[in-house]
Amino acid sequence: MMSRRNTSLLWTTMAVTLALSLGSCTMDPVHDSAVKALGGDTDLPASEFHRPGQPCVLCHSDKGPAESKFALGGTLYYLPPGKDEPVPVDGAEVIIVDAYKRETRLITNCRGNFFLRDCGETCPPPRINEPAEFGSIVYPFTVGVQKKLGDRVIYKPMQGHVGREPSCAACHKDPPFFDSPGHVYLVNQVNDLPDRKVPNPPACPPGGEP
Amino acid sequence: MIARLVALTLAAGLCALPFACAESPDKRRETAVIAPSFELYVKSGVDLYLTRRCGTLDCHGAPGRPLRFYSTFGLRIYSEDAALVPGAQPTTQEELRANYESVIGLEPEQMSRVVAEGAPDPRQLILLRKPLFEEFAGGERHKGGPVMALNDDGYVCLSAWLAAPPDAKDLGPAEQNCRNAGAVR
Repeated sequence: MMSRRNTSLLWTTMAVTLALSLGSCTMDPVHDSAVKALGGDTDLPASEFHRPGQPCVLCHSDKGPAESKFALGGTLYYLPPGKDEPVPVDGAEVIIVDAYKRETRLITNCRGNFFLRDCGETCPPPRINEPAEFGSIVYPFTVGVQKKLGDRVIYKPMQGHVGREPSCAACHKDPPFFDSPGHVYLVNQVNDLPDRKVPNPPACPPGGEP
Repeated sequence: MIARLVALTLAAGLCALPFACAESPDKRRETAVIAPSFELYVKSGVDLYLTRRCGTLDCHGAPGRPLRFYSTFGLRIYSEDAALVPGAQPTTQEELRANYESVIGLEPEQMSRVVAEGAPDPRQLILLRKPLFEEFAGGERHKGGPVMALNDDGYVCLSAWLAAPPDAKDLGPAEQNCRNAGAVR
């Protein structure tokens, strides 16, 4: 026969286990395992500079675990993957034209990251030729990247369109394979850059918005 | 008494169930598909339209997705020799053939019927019905949302291909619709 003390200990353990399991994950095991597969955070955790090259909207969505929600997000590099570490493009424009022909411009940061915060139905109207922070996008959309380097403006459009995936890195995985073209990059080869040189990676300011 | 009778009937039914479904399949039986032309599928740009519009890596160009398309715009056929990568090499003959088989194999019997009748209403095929806007799709849900309107270039192109007689050299006026549809990004 179990004593009253043992019974209450059992109930407490069960309650704590249940609370922990509910608090640590969503009820979607596929989502949870995809988040766990990303691994630990990078050197600038929980800021706009963290986890470059990873599928942003996996966490920045209704399912979390990030608190802020993105309509889309990605990372831009100078060159296709090679033997060197990819260098992020700072201050490039990401130009999106959605199904309603509405244009949205985003600017990449020091890690090459760009994102559009989701504002659902309360979005302000998009401003032409101005970078956006909040917005919503109607699929499918086309996208191109643009960067001024010296006197030259380099523009590279995506060959196809985006049908429904808000994270660029969900399809643009590294390394290139039969199911991925590799990271999003600005030029195909170093000769396409002015002086045939990849600019030095910029330093990121401390802090940054989550 | 009645309860015992019901229990006995249920038990008898359960015993008979495995035997009711135990007929072995006839291995000689084949389903022939009266299929639309593969040559026109490629030459007239039906494949170009489908792969550009539907075959992106996040839609029907995703591994594991039904009605899978391979092309330079999305998923490639895995090959160690060719090392095909999205965006790097043009769409191969093998990929074109796989896409064609994907389309005609979606509903093989229904495809035969529709093509044999000259496709008077191509919406009998899920290929054209499902991606339509809901009012024309008969309430069928497409996970990617409506991507085609009745009589838009893509719809006309696909319908003309399904309706083309076996000896047709081209799709007639619908060739232009196919070109327009394939050019849309």
